[in-house]
Amino acid sequence: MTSEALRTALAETRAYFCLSCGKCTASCPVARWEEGFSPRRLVEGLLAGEAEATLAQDALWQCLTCLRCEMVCPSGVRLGEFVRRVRAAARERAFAGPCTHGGAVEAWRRLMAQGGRPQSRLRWLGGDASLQVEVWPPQEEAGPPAEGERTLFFVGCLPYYQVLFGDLGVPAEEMARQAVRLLNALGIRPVVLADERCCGHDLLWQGDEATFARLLGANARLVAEARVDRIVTLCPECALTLAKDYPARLGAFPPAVHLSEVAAQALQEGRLTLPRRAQGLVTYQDPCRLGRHLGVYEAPRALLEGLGYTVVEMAHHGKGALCCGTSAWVNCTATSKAIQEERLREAQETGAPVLVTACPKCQIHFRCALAGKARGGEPRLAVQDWVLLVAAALDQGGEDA
Amino acid sequence: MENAEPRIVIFHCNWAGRHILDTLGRGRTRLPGRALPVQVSCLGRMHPGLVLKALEAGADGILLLGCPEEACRYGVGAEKVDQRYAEAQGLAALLGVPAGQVRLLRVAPGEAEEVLHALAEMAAASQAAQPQAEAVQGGGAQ
Repeated sequence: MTSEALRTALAETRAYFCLSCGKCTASCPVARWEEGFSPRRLVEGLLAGEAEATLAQDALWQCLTCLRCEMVCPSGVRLGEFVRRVRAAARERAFAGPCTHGGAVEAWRRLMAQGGRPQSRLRWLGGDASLQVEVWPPQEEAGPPAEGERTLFFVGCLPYYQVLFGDLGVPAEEMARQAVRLLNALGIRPVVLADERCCGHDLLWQGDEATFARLLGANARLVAEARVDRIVTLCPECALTLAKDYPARLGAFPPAVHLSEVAAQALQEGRLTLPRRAQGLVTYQDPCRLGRHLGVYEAPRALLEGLGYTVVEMAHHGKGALCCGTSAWVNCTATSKAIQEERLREAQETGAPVLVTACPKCQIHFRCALAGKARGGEPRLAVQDWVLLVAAALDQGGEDA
Repeated sequence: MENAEPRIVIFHCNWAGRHILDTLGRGRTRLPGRALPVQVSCLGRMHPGLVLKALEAGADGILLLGCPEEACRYGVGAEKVDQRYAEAQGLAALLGVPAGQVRLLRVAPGEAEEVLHALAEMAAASQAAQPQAEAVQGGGAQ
């Protein structure tokens, strides 16, 4: 029988209104490669009262929660949220998706949730005195507290990704440093938390509500202690989780935005000056969390154009963009690889030599797929985060024609 | 605390690592701390995720015990373990695990003393980090 939690999930995500039209399947990046996979079938299974069979199936973990289906659903079914809640119910019955990376990513999140040992996670600052930050709680050689509006730079798991994915060339720590430089250039001296925990995005979307709640509790306490007015992140997943899921559970929580929004607004208002030079072509990957989940499409493009790049779009972009193939570190399969390779093909077809992303995970996944392609002798495409391109321009300084 | 002895998980390979633990066991040697051996075929299999899971389960220290580089039965294991050990150490350091509490020891079958020495150091360091823990027999090997 369908439990109360599942009945609520069906009702609150409008899944009862599913018309079985199949548009979700037609738009689903996974269904293109995975025979028999369909978002609609998950709904159908529960409506038919086949809860146990639905919760046990692998398909539940193949969904990318990328929301491409929600863009076309005529009934407004919130399929992403539906899948998230069904995963939580499945996890209660001890079902879980196939883990990736030896379970290392989930393990460090659970260790952070345990909170037994304080982390030592500020090495990325690299003793660079030119980076203006306020570390919370105050360290020995702390400068004065930040004046006026206090902005928290939520670093996320970048220092950890540097260790685990450094071999792919992911410059995670450099991205964090350059994000601070950009904030400094905007006149913001951000607060960084010495014992910041993972925002919990991945565990939440894996259905692990209990560990998510512990991470949320720890971060909420730190944010309150540090008297933060607003939060800026470089990771769209942190931005989504802190902007939507934290306030939904806590009632009140400081507003959170992605750094690209802050920078694009400053550019528009003339508070950020970028040296505009003819820079050639780039193409842009809309991360599913920044794009469809948060509705931010223009900010990163405006910054790239502000730098003098010409943004050429892939066949699928904006609301119709394709995902990078894996989300929440669950289920990295041949289908994930096929989605990544399809996306990289689209990027190459634009003629741009650089695929710019705004999400560390898109970057990790594309670099991984490219490392595989490079072994097969295919042409290379550079993958880079937008913040490094903006930072390179800050180095050049001044304003050119 | 029911058992305040430092818990050291020893991931050891089928070959030199296992041989040494066998030798110590046959000699009835008391290992420093509370050693929990886990056998893997080769340390090349030691994804950092396994190290983190051991920490999550409450290990105070992790010792990876394997063959000298030139003696890997599988050829590539020694190379693999270098990268994975570096990752495990890096992640453990970020998580606040003191340096030296995640260790790799490559030993020939006759080098049991080195293993005892490493375990003693790790057990002592764990106890120093937990001053309120009940005093237990620690430190020196034999």
